[in-house]
Amino acid sequence: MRSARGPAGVGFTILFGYFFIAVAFGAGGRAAGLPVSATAGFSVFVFAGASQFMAVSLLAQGAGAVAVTLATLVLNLRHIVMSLALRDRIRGARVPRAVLAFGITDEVFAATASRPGEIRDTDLLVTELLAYAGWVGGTVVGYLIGGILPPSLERAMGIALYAMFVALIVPALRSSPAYLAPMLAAGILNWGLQSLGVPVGIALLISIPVTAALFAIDPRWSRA
Amino acid sequence: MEPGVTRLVLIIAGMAIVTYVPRLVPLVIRTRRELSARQMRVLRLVPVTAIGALIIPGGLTAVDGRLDLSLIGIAAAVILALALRHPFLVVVGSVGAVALSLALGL
Repeated sequence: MRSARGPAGVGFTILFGYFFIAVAFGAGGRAAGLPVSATAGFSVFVFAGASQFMAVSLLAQGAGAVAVTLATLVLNLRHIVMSLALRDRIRGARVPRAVLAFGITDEVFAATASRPGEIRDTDLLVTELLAYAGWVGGTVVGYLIGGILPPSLERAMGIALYAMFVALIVPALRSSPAYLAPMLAAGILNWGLQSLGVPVGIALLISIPVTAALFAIDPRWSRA
Repeated sequence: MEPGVTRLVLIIAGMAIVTYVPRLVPLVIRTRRELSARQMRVLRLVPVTAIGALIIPGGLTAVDGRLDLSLIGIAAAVILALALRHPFLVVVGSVGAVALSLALGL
C-alpha cells in the first residue's frame, strides 16, 4: 500500500469508502427500527464498522445488552495487535495517544501501517478525523434516505465493506506479491476455525496473529 | 421516554468501552524492550493477514448470505482495484456490479 499520497489523501480515500458503508449501516439501523439517535450513537461512540453491523443484527434478534457487549469485545480485540504495531512507529507529542487510539480502525491501520517509515501523530490524526467524518456523516445520511433506497441497492451494499478491504490490499499485493500466501492462509485458517464452530471474533483473534507469526519465520514473506 | 432507550444506551456505552480499551492500552503502555527483526516482520504481516481473515469467509456471504452474488462483488472489486487508483471507485463499482446483478434477476 505504498503511495505518494499524504495523510489527507489517505483520509479522504477512507472518508469516501466509509461514507458509502456507513450509509448501508444507517439504512440498516432504520430498517431494524432503531431511533436515529441510537443509530448515530453507535457510529459516534463506537466507531467500529463490523461490530456495529453485528450489534444491529443481534438487537434485531432480541439479544440483550451483555451478549451484544461481549460479542463486540471479542470481535474488536484484534485492534490490540494493530495498536501494538503502530505504537513504536508514531512520532510527535502534539496529539494525546488516548485521542489517536479512538480512531484506530481496520482501514486506518491498514492504510497507515503499510506505508514505510515513521508516522507523525498529526498525520495520523488527520487521517482518523476524515475517516470519522465519513463514518458518522454516512450513518446519518443513510438513516435519512433509508426509506427511499431501491431494495436491490440496499442489499448490494452488503459488499461495500469487503470491496474496501480489497481496495486496500490490492496495491500492497502488487508491490509485494509474496503477501498473497499469508493473506490467503489467514483467510483459510479463519474459515476453518469458524467451520469448527469457533465464534467469528475469536476466530479472527486466532487466525490473524498466528498466521502472521508463522509467515514471519522466513523473511521472504514480508519483504517490502 | 420510550421503552428500550435504557437498553440502547447501555449497549452503546458497553460497546464503546470494550472497543476503546483494546485500541488504547497497547498504545499507552510503556516498554523499553526493542522489537527483534522477526517481531517487526510479524507486525508488518498483521495488516495483510487481518485483511485475509476479514475477507475470507465473511466477504463470501456478504450479500444476502449468497456466494455467487458476493463473488461477483469481490471479483468486480479486484478487477477495479487493479485498473483504477482510487479505492472509492472500487467500492462504488463493486456495489454497482452487485446491484446490477440483482436487478437482472440473479
